[in-house]
Amino acid sequence: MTYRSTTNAAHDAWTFILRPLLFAILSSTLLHSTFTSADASAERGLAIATEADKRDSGFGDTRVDLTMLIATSNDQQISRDMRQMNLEVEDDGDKSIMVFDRPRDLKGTAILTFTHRAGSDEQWLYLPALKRVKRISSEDKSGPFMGSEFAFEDLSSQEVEKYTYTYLRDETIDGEPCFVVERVPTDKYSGYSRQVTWVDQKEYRLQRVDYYDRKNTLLKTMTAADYQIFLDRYWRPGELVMVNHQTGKSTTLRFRNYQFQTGLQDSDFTPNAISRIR
Amino acid sequence: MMAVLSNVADVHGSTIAPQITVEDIRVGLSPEKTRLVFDLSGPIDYRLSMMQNPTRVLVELAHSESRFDPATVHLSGTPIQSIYTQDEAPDALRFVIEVEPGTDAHAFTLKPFADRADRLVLDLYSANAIPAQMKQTDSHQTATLAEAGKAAKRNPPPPVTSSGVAAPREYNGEWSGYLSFDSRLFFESPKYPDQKDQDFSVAFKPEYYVDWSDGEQQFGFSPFFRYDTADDQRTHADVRELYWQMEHDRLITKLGVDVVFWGVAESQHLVDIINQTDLVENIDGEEKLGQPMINLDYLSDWGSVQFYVLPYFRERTFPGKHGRLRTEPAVDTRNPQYESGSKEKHVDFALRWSHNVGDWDLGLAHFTGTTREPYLQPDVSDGRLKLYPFYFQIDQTSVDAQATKGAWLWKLEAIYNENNLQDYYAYVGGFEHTNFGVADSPVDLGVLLEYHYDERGDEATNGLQSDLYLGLRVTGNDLASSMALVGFIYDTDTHSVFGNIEASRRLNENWTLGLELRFTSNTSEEENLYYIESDDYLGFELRRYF
Repeated sequence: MTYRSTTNAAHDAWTFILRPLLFAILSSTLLHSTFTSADASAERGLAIATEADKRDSGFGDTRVDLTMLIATSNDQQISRDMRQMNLEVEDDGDKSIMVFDRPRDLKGTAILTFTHRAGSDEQWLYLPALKRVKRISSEDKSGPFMGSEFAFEDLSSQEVEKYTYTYLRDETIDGEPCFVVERVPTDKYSGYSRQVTWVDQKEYRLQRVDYYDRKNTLLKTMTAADYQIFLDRYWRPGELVMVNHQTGKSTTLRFRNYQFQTGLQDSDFTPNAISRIR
Repeated sequence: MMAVLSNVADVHGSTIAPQITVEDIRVGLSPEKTRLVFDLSGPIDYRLSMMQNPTRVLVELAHSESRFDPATVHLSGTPIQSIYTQDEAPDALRFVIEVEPGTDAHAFTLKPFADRADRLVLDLYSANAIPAQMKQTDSHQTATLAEAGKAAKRNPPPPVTSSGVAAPREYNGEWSGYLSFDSRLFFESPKYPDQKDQDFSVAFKPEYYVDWSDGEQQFGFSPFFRYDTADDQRTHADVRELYWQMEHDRLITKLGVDVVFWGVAESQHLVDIINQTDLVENIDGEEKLGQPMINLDYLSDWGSVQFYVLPYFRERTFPGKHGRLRTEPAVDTRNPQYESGSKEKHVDFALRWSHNVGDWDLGLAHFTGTTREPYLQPDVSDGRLKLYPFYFQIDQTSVDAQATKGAWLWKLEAIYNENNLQDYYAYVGGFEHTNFGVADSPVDLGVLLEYHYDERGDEATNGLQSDLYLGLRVTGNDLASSMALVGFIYDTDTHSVFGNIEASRRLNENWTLGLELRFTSNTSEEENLYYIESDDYLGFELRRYF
């Protein structure tokens, strides 16, 4: 059980009201100082990311079924079925398990990830043919996930601390007024130089991300669709579409059967536990 | 305020939990359900159960008290007949909600949001009000009764006895598995009489798995069959899995047959000892026979502890006289020799502790019982040389460790083996380093280096007394999951080399193709590798998964 402390509330008040206000005043009085306005953009970008994170906190745990539709060059679609379990961890990154159902030769293969706000993530792989749980390097951020257009890092838990932020502008996409915030990965193994994100102003949901490769060329665009609300509070997309601008290929990720607060706990997210999942 | 209190309690090591008050109960009606919202002064542990005759929903709240009279809750128009409280334990509060027969209940908690404090939401579904499948499409997902019960069990409220808990049972039985068409083509003529130039075989491994009680109990069954055209010893059947398993909080109990893997190294699995090697399947020793066991697995905060009782011993499989990749003469598996008078009925025990601390994954284990790796005992008593497998008693202590430092995986496995023939120690250690995304491609390239040592020297049963392994792993990260592993084991004493190339890829949704190229070079007469010096081969494995 977790509680929000009064000190946190005071800190939140500072972060979300007083500090932006102070910077708004400062930036308007020192309008010509580009240095200060850059600082203000960074503050505002971080504030938007923090607010989005805060709005999603307290979900406890989730389960969801995923289907990945990978469009190949010869106009065929290949599908991959997976299940994901997530556990919210207080004061650190979330824990997650991805289990493969299809194709059948991968059935039962599972990846356990401990995301960390600071330092590298931890990752284990379960190979059902050998019944072996193997600790693997978490440096493989930018590699394609299952030959799709999604990289491992696109699918990992999006912790606030994993990026630095700059607020760029307001912009309406698909009738939804959004904040446009640029974020730069802090992890040196990221495959991206930067990402431009569109977050809607009403519910702080990620609507679109433009990914720029290490040479700062636009590589991919991800768009989220069919958001649904759960437990009166938590928004989850029904679909993520990733388009690779350099190859023209695309991958669609569909989510079904979201379940919240299903009773998952720490002991379900261990290297031994992933060997028991079927 | 609650947070301050609980922090103070934690600091002083006190176990007094904060007292939660139920401030109000609000009732909401919709065509599909009746929703009760309990407004709480803080986060709560709860348990939901049902009783029949009359039908009642019981909501038990830990460390709680009520601020108001539940009789004042407005119930007209709802399927609820009455709500009242019972003080079951000094510190707990039980709400009894009398409902219509056939009512189903779901509950979940909500954390503070906006101006709302902590809440417990209870949804009551009348038996005739709504078809079952509509509940599942409800976008406001709710924990089912069983899930709520599971959650409550894991954070148990004060014990309150109740009977007739209505846990919905769900059976998710599923078949899967593969059918495999395999062939091995040998480059050289057989070294020994009766051996064949090539073999063709078919393997079938179905798997059945079912769980129930909300996944807490599991049953698995996986037989294995192989038919081989060349070697009648390779034509064999086995039960790889046949077990019942129950997860209860942090204790997992398993009864039956299963395969267990221990260890971290790639070129040899030194500490892996629970299962016998199915050697006719593959000389790499990675195929295992099912092992009957009673297994208790306890997850503590300081690691996982696994205890095994192994009541029946499995003999190693060996190729027959028509098979390649064998000794001369072929091992006589009809007459296994045992040190223990109880032979295969000797009961073995194993205990293992494993834990991960930061970058480190550690394992410490002890095994006492019949060795999985027999000495081959020559016998010339009837004028002809025969080789019998001799299974002696051992006490083996092992340690395995992996340090994961970025793209570097540092690995060590070591054993100390006490027995009545010759005590010895052995180890394998080294690293695997991966270059992710070589030259801006999706391909990963890994380099593996491992050193093997065995104190027995020439007597080492696996011939890895002072050997160096160099491997190169290519992972395609493509749609076909292409991969290849090229490895060489170099014997620093005899200078012989054993080469092994494995590659695989998915052909389509159901079919995969595997290739295996194995060869020996520069073998000398005094080592086991000499037996298979003419058995270089290329193996194909075409698999249909279902």
